[in-house]
Amino acid sequence: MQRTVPVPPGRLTEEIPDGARVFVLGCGDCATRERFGGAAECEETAEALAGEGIEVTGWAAPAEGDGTCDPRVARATIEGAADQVADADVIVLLACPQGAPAVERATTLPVIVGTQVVSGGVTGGNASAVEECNFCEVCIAREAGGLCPHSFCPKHLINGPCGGAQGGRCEVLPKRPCVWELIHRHLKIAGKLHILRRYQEPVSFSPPGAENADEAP
Amino acid sequence: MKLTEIVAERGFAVTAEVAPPKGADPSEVLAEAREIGAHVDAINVTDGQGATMRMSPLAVARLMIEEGLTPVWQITCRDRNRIALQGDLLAADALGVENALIVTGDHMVLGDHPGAKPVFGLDSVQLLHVAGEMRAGRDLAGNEMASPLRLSTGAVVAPEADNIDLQLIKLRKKIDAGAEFIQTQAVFEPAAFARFMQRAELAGIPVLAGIIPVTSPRVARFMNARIPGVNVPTWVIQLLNEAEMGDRRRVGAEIAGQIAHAILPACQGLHIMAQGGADLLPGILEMAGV
Repeated sequence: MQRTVPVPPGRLTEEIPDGARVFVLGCGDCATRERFGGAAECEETAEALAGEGIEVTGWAAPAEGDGTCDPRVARATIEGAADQVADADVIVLLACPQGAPAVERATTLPVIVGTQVVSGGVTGGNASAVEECNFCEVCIAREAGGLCPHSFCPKHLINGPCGGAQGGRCEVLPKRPCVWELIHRHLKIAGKLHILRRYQEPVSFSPPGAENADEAP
Repeated sequence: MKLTEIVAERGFAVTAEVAPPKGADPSEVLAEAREIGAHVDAINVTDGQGATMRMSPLAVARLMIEEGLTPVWQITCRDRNRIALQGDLLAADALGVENALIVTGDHMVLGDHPGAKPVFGLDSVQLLHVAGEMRAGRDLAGNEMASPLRLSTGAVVAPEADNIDLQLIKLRKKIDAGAEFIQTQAVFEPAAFARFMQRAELAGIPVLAGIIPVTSPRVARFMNARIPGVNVPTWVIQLLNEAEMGDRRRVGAEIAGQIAHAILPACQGLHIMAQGGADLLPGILEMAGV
């Protein structure tokens, strides 16, 4: 797992389409342990969103120890709250961005990841190994089915692959699969290829905590 | 002249390419450009192609303009950060360059300085977007510029890459980001290219299809192993193998001419990548029927 925190409530609200009803889904594993997506945080987020005037149809978090990145857990949790999910237009996911693929496969609803990675490291469990996290202001992995092209692609390409993959393998690191192949396969299965069509802005390489010229006194 | 203006006037355009020298003397590349220039509308100047260290293509582009030739200046995202990339776009414009081809660039590990620091701080889609903003008078950070960028920016696509679906999605993003013309990586299979063109959402943007005359089986194997997005098919390698050693260049050019002829109806021109093969160009163009 990587160190993950909820995205600021203001930004989360902005990402929810106007008038959309929300179901909040948590995670019983890392997110419960680290307190960014357990039952308590799901309830908190549901209340905070309701306080912003957003209709919340319900929330659910898997039993402690069950990670939402496990597709069986994601499916069972969503089925367990089938009525509330059926009333919702989007799912707000409080889990690592790496949990998104399992949820996206278990539902046809759009998934808004309500967390972001703020510190790198190698992931474990069901999640995909990601390295050299850039701590992007807006986490790219959230837009790519939980797989981070910025840290996985040797060219840091975040708007799609180069033309160099051979047999699905990276031209620079031939022992590794091209991360764009993985992202494409996942989003295709999930029926969410439209995510790939979005323009991704350049990421910032400004070190966290640096005072930029236009913000300095 | 802009490639887009040439296509608008005549319905198609033909480009070729040269590589800057590994050395300070530009006379050879300029001689090659003059020879090629008699047959084509514009000539691409590659930017550290194959991630090898060579003269900056901006110098070659300017020297070509002084000779009355039209360069398509290639700019990769590999070696420069966003400050340098924008600065060089403005520099090229000031030096009279009217066409820039924006590419991500081959990775260092494929070239002769594998330990060089990879920059890739912007990708090709983002740099195309930034160029569009600069044409509207703003830089990437949103600052007003004293005068806008004027040059036209184009993009590449690999129609025979492994994953065509992904190439098509990225091509669409490049066009949405402001690409004004497309030059493709090498095409060898006309039927597959026609299908690719049918599926591409081009919004009227002209496409110049890439043609590479493959002059020996060894070159074919090298290209397949080292040039991203190029897949020389076995039928081409077989024909070269069957040809007499001394006849292989001619056979390679003939194959290229046949492919060019077959794909021309599906696109708006040709981009012939025949470095060191300027002599082959007239024959290929004649067979293509342009």
